[in-house]
Amino acid sequence: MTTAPGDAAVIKKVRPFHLQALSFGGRYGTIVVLIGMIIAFSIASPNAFASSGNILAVITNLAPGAIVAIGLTICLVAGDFDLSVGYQASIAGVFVVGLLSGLGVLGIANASVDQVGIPLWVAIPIVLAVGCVFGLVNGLVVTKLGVNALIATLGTGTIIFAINLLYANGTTYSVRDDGSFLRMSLGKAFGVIPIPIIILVGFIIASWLLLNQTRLGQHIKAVGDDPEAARRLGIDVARTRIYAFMITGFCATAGGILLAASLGSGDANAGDVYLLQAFAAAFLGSAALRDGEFHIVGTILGCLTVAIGFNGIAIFGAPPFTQYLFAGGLLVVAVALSTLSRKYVSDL
Amino acid sequence: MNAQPLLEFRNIHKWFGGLHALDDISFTIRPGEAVGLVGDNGAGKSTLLKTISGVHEPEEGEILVEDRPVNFTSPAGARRAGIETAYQDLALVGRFTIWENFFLGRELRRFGLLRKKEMARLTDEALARLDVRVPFKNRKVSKMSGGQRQAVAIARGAYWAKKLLLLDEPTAALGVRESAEVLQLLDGLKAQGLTMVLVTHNIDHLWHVCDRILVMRRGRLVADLMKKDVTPREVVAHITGATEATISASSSAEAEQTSAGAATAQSTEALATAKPVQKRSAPKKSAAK
Repeated sequence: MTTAPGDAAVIKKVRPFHLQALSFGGRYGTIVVLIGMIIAFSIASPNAFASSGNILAVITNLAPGAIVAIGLTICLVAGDFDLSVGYQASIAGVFVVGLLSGLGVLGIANASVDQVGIPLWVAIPIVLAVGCVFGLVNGLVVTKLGVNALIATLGTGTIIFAINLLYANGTTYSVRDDGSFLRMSLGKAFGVIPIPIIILVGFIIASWLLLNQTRLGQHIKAVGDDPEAARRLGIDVARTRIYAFMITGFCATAGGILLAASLGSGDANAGDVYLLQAFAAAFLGSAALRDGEFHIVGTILGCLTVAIGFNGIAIFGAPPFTQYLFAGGLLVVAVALSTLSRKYVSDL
Repeated sequence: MNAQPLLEFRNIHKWFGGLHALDDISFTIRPGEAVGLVGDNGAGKSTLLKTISGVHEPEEGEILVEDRPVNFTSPAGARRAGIETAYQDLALVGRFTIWENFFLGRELRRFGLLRKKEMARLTDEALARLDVRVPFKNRKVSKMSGGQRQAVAIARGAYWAKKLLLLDEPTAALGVRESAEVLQLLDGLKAQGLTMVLVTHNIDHLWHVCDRILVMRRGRLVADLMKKDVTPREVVAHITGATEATISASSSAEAEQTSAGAATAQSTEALATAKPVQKRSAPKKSAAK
């Protein structure tokens, strides 16, 4: 089959300047914002911001939220939404602290009966398994009952919060164990690298491999892009979407566990903010490098953008309302960039 | 023509509610044949194609592939039997490159990880073999022209079709030049001995590609013609159920309104060269009117 004579070149020539600008914004917008903030904060506050201690602290602190955002990215790649990730992260923190501190599987109602904590290496798999079950329920409701994913996960998220209150009555429990849980967040590998960063890097590598180097990853991308074509080619669309929700649940609870480890307690609302942050990060990430597609590297860039923004606000002692202003504004800007990116970016 | 039949339909019936979508369909396809499947809108050719490809299950009758009875409950079943479909709306994933589309659902892996280079290499080889030239092989399919995408969809079908390739109106959405390129691709596939069933509305394209023509009307297979024995006008007469005289005298739309029963009887007499599949080729309903 012969090539259409130079159609690529023609399109490139006639693209007007404003379209080129939009296309640049869609592809590099997030990176420009990120680098711009880093430069601005470094110049304005070389001692507080640009110190190695601060940089390491920023990355350590963003790790739990970034793991939640990675999970959300998988779900978004599959073409779905999960609004329950924040509630899942919150309940994971409460649940893991409860298990470690002797609340047992059934929670506060049975606390006096079972005062012995479950060891860390048992508690964490239990909580992660619960996360997979949340994802399974989300996936079943969305695919088998056909409920719109936004509404479905809004509902399941609220139910998860109800379970959270049922388990610990909304009380914040401090962890009572042999100290291994806190070491998960405070410990350092090789004496320098904080363990949360190691865990985050593990999640980045694993999720990148999953999306880019495995059959399930191909199927998730295909289902998210064109479910009808995927179905015609023999892919079980419902099952693939359910797997994506389960991975999202796994990551959301993993992020919640790590957050609880850094707080040293299980707070019923601690992970709720991750919902907005994860969405902002994922949408910022889709406006980085890949023409509006959600992808892991982009999400991590998005997480850095969000985290460095918050860090800058904190360093300059801006009043509390600016945090929310920044977070909300960033989400809107992120989605706008992502939309631009899909609309105007050409791959030429 | 004396080879073992590749595909055989024996008295296949299919209903959609009260509509008799496939009414006693019987035919055989032999290896290497390029068969055209034609008929007016709603004649049932799409349903027939989907029955071959496993999307629909027949309610009565028997399907045999190389003399073995088969029962496809899904497109996956037909694919396992070596029957591939290139759909009109392509069924390509836009964000994927050509090789990703080629191997979607059939990925090659080693230790659980994708063998991307191997899949890309096999795809390049297949494209070269089929003489499909696409600029920028690592481009997303969504960035390609309609003709290029159609070529990719057909090439994918041909790559996996061990026995039979079904083509559902491959040129319907294309311009003249792109259609010509697709026809050239189909010529190549035919020369390589691939068996094809082509559904089309375009008589020129039908004539270009096919040796044999199956005509459907109102759920029935009304004619099984060898191209060398008929003229395009006669095929159109079979499609509309009109006589030659009516065709030349009036538009085909008017022709369809003539009593289909009488018209077909006349046309089969008039066309000595055409071999009608069944004697009672007129739907009873219209004959009763």
